[in-house]
Amino acid sequence: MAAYCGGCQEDTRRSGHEGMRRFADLCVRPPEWDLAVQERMAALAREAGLSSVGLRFRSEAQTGQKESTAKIFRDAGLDCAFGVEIAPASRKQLLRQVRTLRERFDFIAVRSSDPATLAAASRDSRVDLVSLELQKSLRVKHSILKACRTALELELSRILRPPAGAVYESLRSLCFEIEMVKRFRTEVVLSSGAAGPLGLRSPRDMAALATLLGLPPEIALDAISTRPLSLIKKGREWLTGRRA
Amino acid sequence: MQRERWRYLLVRVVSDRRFSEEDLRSALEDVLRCFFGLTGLLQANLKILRYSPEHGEAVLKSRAGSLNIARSAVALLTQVSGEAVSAFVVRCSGTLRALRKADPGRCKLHSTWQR
Repeated sequence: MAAYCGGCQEDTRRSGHEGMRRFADLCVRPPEWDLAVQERMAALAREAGLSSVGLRFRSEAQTGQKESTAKIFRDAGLDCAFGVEIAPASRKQLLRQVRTLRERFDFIAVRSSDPATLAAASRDSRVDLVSLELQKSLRVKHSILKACRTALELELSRILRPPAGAVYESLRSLCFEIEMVKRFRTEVVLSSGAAGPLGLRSPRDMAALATLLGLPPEIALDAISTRPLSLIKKGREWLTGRRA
Repeated sequence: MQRERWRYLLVRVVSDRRFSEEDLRSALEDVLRCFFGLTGLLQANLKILRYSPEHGEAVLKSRAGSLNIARSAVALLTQVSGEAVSAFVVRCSGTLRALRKADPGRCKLHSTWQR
């Protein structure tokens, strides 16, 4: 396998298969029912080099709304997966939500400010992604990632739109998570977290940024291509098996 | 002495408002200085070769060894003269000619390149 040097064409020529890499962004949150913005997002996502998008909905999103959004993205030439983001306040709530939502979505992402809930989510095989964005304590992050069996989601929006302009805190937190990911060999998924057209970024640019923050280049590229794609595949297979 | 190697990036700049090349240059410099410091700014040596406000496309030149910094600066660009923007690299190449030839239909700047 050829060494990656930031997505340059030289490597594409050398390895042959790098240019065939398909990219997926698992955190695209298109605004509900705003068709013009959804169309713009779909066109830009395609232009940015994505081949699959994970559309993130709220748990109460209606099927009609999900389908109409997905149609817009499919018309732009993108493969769409349905995902749901939940923010349970307790372990009990987490288990209840996962039980009801698992059969309706291709993947489930969990974010919670409660460490015990997040720790339970990170060990639950029905949960696909966990985000540590709401966790402030580095010690808690360390203990969760140590026993994490799901993939950790790193959203670029955490740096692009930090809460109250706290760029330094967001960067520090992201760097720490990357350090822990390397130490515990946790699976990692990079995503944009785009809530509008201006939040979308090119997958190779995101991988380059993650590389500068400390993630090994190959893992950074996999985190936005093979890992999210395999996650979508796994979710779909599970759903198909369940329906059959 | 070894010749300097460069990378040429075709960048799409998305915004609701048009702005000048100078504004874009200054915004990119601010991002580089803020996230990578003066050394990062000097290492990347990022230059805008072409910019079309109508098409929202720019061609940037960066040192080959600092391609990750250049790509990251583009990804981290969120504002140009107070206006919200997003930018991403559409294509990256080792020569300007290859950048133009690779996908002329995609690059709207293509028609304006005369040099």
